[in-house]
Amino acid sequence: MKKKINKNIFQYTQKGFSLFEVIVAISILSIIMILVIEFSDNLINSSLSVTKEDNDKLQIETAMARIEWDFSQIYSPLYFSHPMQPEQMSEDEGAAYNQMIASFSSNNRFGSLSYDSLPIPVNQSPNKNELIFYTSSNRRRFQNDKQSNYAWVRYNLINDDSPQEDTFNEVTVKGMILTRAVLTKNIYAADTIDWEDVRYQVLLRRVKELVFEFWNPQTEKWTDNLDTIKNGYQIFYAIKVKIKYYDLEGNESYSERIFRPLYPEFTPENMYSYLNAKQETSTQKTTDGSSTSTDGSSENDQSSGSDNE
Amino acid sequence: MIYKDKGFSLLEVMIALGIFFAMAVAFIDVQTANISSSIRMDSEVSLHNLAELKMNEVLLQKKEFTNATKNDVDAGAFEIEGFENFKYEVRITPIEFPDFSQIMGQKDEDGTRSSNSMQKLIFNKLKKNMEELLWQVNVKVINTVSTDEYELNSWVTKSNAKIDTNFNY
Repeated sequence: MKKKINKNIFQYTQKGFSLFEVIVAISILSIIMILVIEFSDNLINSSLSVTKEDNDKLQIETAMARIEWDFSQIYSPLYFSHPMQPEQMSEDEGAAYNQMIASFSSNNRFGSLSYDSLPIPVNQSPNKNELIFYTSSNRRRFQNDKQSNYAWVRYNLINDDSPQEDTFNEVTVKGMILTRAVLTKNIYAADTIDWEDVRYQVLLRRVKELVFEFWNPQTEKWTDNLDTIKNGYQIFYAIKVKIKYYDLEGNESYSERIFRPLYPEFTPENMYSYLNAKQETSTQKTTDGSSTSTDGSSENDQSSGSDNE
Repeated sequence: MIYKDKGFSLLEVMIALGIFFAMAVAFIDVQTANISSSIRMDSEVSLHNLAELKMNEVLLQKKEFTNATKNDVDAGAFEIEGFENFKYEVRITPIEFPDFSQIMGQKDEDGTRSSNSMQKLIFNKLKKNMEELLWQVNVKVINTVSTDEYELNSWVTKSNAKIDTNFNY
């Protein structure tokens, strides 16, 4: 019996795999491995390309957000005041005006003064894809920097001379570049701004076409010519931006946005006629001798009468 | 040749297949999630941009406030290149102010507090003026393909509104 048990321990009854079986197993395994690798490779590729495409889509959104930041804070005293009218001034006021306006006649950035004697900036749109304007969107980065929140900003399209870096799926797309240049120092200097000296940042690449259009409140239409809008160079009512651009695969996309300045829309009261009317009523009152009732109280009486009905 | 090995049982095969499919589904799921979330982002961004564009157009046109009711809808399709399958609906409605009792969260009981009637008087005046002064603009943009919707609301002031400033009781 003992011998038999010993024999059973050392004698393997199980056969090993045959060569054929091993080959079949390995080939099945390798097919599965290839499938798994293919799968995960696909997965990584698609997630990469989606991230790249999303980044590309976000590029136009960030560019538009930058434009919105500047346009919404466009500044002009005309939003809350009206220009000085020397013909309606008294003599000594006129003399003071002549002194002040002398420096503005030779100024290429600010052409005239508002009623509160604030300089009115002159915006420009030399081409339909170039816009130079005055905005209050600047933020000072260092405490003692000699700049305020006002700045001159220029949006412009330039040719793309850079070596092509972003190739995707072996498609190379060339377009123009939308740039933003900002002048934060010496903004009140009299000379025309030399934009060649101002550094620009790239907002968007692969731009095919860019158009700035302006809202004309008189005709209630969009126009790309500032000449046709009353005070068009001094005040913007709304700006429409139309951009045609290529995505990474060379497909043309289009984006159209409207931006309004943050200043509430209202027509400022003409201070000259207001002051004249005030003067006239006060002189009338002194001549009439009736100082008991003012305009305000009489209006109140009327409204109270209508309320009781 | 004599095969002594038994084959797999049905249960074993089913379990093996189940594991395989669970793996496959997980793989495909992750892959499509990337793409579908990207498509959703794209759709939501364009819905928001179109709603903002329409809202700005409405605000710029400075429509005169007439006796518009909730049922008056200015509807149409966008004529912007690449966004032809988006529709818009613009509603301009007078603002609805809640009643005093709704705001205070109590039923109108007589004389619980002495200041109550005064508060009510001031509130009613405010309500009347606000309803006279403010109009609500609602812009809804609909993607006709995916039926996704996006709404924007804003308030506009009536420039020719007459405010009741008489507080003599």
